[in-house]
Amino acid sequence: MFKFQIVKRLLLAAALSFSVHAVMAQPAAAPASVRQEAPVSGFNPDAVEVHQDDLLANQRLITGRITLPDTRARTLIQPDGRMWRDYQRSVVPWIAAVLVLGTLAALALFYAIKGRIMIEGGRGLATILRFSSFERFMHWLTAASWCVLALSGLNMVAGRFVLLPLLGNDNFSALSRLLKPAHNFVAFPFMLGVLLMFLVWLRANIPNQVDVNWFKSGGGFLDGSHPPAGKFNGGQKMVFWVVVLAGAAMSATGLSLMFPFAVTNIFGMQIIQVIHGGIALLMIAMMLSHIYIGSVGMEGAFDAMNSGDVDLTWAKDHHSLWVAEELAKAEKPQPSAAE
Amino acid sequence: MARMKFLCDADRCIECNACVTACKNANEVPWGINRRRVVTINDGKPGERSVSMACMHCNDAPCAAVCPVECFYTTADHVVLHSKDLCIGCGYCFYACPFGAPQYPKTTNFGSRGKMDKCTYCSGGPDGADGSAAEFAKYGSNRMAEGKLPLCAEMCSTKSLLAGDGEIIAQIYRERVLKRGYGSGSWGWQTAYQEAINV
Amino acid sequence: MRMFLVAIVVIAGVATGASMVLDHFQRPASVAFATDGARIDPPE
Repeated sequence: MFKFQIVKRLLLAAALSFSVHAVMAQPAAAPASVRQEAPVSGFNPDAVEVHQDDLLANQRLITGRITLPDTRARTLIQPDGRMWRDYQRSVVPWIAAVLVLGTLAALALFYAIKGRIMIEGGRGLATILRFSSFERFMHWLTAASWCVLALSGLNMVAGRFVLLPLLGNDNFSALSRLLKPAHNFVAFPFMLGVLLMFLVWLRANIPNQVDVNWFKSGGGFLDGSHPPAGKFNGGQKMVFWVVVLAGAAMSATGLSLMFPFAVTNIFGMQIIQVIHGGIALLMIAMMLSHIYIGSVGMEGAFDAMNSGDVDLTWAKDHHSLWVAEELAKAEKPQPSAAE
Repeated sequence: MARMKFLCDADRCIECNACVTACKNANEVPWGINRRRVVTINDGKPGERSVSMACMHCNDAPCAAVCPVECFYTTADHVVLHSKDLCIGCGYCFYACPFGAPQYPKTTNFGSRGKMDKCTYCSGGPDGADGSAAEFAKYGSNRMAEGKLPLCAEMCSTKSLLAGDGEIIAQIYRERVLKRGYGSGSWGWQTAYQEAINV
Repeated sequence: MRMFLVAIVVIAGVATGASMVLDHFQRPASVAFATDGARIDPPE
């Protein structure tokens, strides 16, 4: 009698588990939230079941209704967070290492082989005004802001690998607690600087045939020639457009990140953060090269942004067309007040 | 050693929000911060289920993985906690958390979102001695140090929200499903613990 | 060199100004999620 009851219960349990398994294994093609399950044991108040796997098969997240005033909390589960986490922890550090350290290594190699590009014939006495005070001001406004942004941004991504072991948790947190607000607020002078540069230098940075020829001869880097160039050569125009376009993208994504969920949902915020970080690293690679050539890489280049006056020979070698224009302007008679 | 988990039996949850109220009360959670919340799926329709959700204290917690200042740690009971002193309020943990557990005192993110706050499994935090006033002010109650389970599960009116050692609550849930013949599954378990309770 | 220093000063100024303006938009969770029926008194 007793054994029979055990066998009956075992059969019941087996049948139940089979049916539960069968129900759970059904393909997602069935309507996600309404499913019939034959009641197996006595009382089954809900003939309809809903399972998280089915819901997730049809949509990115599971949402419902919530009585809290914060309606964002109605998202129950967003598994995309795992994808974002994997990207942040596994992919981004590698991208950062390749782009930042790789660029530094390439520049070091270039310097080791080529050395500093010197002014042919050495510095002369004659100089020519290349950048006005305002041009230099807006460049430094952008450049100095960018340096703060790049370093504070890199701290968010790579700080825990590079600085945390050196400083310890408490000090590193204290530093990061300063760098994060710096990142957010220095973004505004950066945006102002990019806007100014765009307005003032747009005309001089429109690409033309001269730039195509400049690129064709490798900018003169490899063969030592001096292809003609205007106020900005092909490489500099590339830097201009990267700064303007990447700067605009960084500004847009950055502002969205500062006002979370103002324009998009959790998935959108994750995408925006990925874009913001990705463009940042590409921009860092480009700017490292720009900083290199403007300082260590070429004699006479830094003068342009430091005092504004550059060596005339250097200018004739590297920006021949611009020098010709400037000298022609200087010789033209001044327009009279009546004109 | 016990491995602490939460399990919400969605077929028993009646959306009474007693768990939410208990948590708010026991931990003096400020207004606007929701350590625990109840979400209702298919509200008003056949197959309506309510799930009480807070931090699940995941295996390989995503919040801990993405934190730029590594302010998270895991206790011996596998409760995932963090240090509010180290937290810089960047908001990354919220993007990573599948359950929306991290809460911030500020809704905007310039400067900082404020110190992140989340369910601590009523285990307090790293500062101050267990059960001290300093710990309570920052992290809320520390019931675990007194050998008690989180108050949300203790106060659940239908015993749908279970807290305790993962093996034990999984077994309780399994027995329930077997006895009554239905169960919508262990919500969040696959995501948090990479296992589902098969009955 | 002078323009560089001017730029640094302007950066500090604009950043500080931005933080002050943005603080105006800052909403603590206790205020953002208050409703007619449920709210707290402003902190002293």
